[in-house]
Amino acid sequence: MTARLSCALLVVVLAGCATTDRVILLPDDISGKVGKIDVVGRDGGEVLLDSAYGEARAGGGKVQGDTLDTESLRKEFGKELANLPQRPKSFLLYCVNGSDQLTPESRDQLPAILDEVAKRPAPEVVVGGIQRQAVAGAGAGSARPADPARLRSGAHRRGRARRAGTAGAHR
Amino acid sequence: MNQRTRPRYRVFKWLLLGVAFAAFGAAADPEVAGIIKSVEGSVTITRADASLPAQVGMPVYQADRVITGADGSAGITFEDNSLLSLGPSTNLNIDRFAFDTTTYDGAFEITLGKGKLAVISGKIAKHQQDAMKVRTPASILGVRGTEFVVEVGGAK
Repeated sequence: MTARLSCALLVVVLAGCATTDRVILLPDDISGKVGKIDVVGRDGGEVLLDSAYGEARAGGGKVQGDTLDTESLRKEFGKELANLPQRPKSFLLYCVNGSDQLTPESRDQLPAILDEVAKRPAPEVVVGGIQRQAVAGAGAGSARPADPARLRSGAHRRGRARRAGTAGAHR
Repeated sequence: MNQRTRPRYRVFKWLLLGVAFAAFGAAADPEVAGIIKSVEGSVTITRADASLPAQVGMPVYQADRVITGADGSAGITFEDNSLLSLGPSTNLNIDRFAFDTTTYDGAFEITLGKGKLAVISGKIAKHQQDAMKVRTPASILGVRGTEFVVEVGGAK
């Protein structure tokens, strides 16, 4: 029994040694900004990544810092990076003061918005509203600017309606 | 005129529902954490005891596990605009997801059991330090932004 247990323990320890978990921090592909990641080893050690292509390797009771060259990054993670979903896109639409009609400039944006929606797989539309005046009727204003009756057709009606209803105070 | 009043009514209805959920406890509505935006090869979602083939447009929830086969990959957009891309032979668990669309408060915790993951973090990580965590077998990552890749079980 003891022998069997120690065998099992040995296997676990070996397996633990074999895995190395890696994290590589990248510059934002649009702004070029670099964030921060605090990498804490489960068995001790800690590395703070805060520079572009900084790499942390955790395993065997320690965390090591390093830097990965962009060539290796492309080779090892190129497919995952290429498969990231498209970033969301925002449009600002304005209504004519005191009415529920879009300004002509905002109305002109609608085809571009609909094109964007049509282009994306499983599109979601979130309508947020900024209400500068009336307190009464809150919510109605948030749904008006983007002609929701048209944008809401499609597979995610429920999600959109839910989000439109709660997104009244967006930004 | 009718057409114009309809959106107002609809939004109002959802606001009312929101109030109802707040009153009776949010547990009644399982909150959608994200939507699957791309699927390649074999990808399955394990939810409770069920195993579902992943499809584009499918919602994912807290406690779901996303598993890709040797030929598989998947892209998911989360409600806070975090973007995730899973490589082949990858196993990802959504431990916790909560997001307030008004205050941006929330929590986003995932575990990468094996495989490769690329991430662009969203509003949760930006708004609140320590709100986004990625666990791997050997480490815990406190993410303060923004773009990064993780690999578990690498040869090196």
